[in-house]
Amino acid sequence: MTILQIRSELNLHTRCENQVENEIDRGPARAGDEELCKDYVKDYPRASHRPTRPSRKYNCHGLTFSSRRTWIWKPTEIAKILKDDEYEQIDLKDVLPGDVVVYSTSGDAEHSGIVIEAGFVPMILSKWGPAHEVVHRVNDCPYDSMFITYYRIKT
Amino acid sequence: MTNPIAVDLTQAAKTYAIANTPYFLVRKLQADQSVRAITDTYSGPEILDALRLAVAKEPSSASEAVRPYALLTALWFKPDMTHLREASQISAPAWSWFSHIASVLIETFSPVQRQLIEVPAQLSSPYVSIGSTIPVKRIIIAP
Repeated sequence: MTILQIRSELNLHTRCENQVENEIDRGPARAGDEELCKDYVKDYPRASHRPTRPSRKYNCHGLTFSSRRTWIWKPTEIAKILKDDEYEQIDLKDVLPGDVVVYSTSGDAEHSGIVIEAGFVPMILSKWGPAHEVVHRVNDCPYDSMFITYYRIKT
Repeated sequence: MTNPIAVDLTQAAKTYAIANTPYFLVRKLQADQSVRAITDTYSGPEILDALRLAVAKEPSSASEAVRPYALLTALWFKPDMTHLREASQISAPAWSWFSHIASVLIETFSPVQRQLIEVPAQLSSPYVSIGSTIPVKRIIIAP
């Protein structure tokens, strides 16, 4: 039987076989995490808060770019993924379900998600840090939506 | 042992609960009034002592989890970076972002000279910029 460490890094490669720095934290949720999540449910009543418990196993970037397997926290790694995996920037008018959105502040990708419904204000599936997964309008979340960019992966 | 710095970190903990990246957390902590309160109320050595105590055991609550990051950020607001540099050397294995956040704070540290002067009641007190990375030296000319 494999014994896993509480925290470790997964082998996660881009299409160009470059390792993406990541950290999975398998520890349980801390006391108070659930309560803080409930606060966000109250603060964002129009969003759909999925019944996933708080977890540090993956974050928004982990959901968007690594199938919910791990936590990616360095903006340089997001830039690496976008480049190596050949994501192309697209205009809002061309956005379709399945595209991804990246929220940036001062050039750092601080949030991301997957578009699940297109439109003038697209609907996004994401995870809010260690909190739960949320389906929210692109501008209805605790992250700065001033600088958002939509991408589609090239196939 | 209770941490000697008694500041309500509820908002900081709430921010930490949704932080995807250390940069987001730092930006929010720099705007958090409770962090400014720590800077204004406690000396550098006091904050440093509280930081050592805060990382001595694994966090058991959201407030304990964010406390070291809040204390680091409080040191960033101090006029010299001696204690921030010292803090960056502390080992905090349970806090994955500790070294990284310490490095970011040191890189973005802006030496600010603060001068307390007696001013007539009609003059407002000087505003000290916290967001710029450019060294700031303010010369206050009092009548």
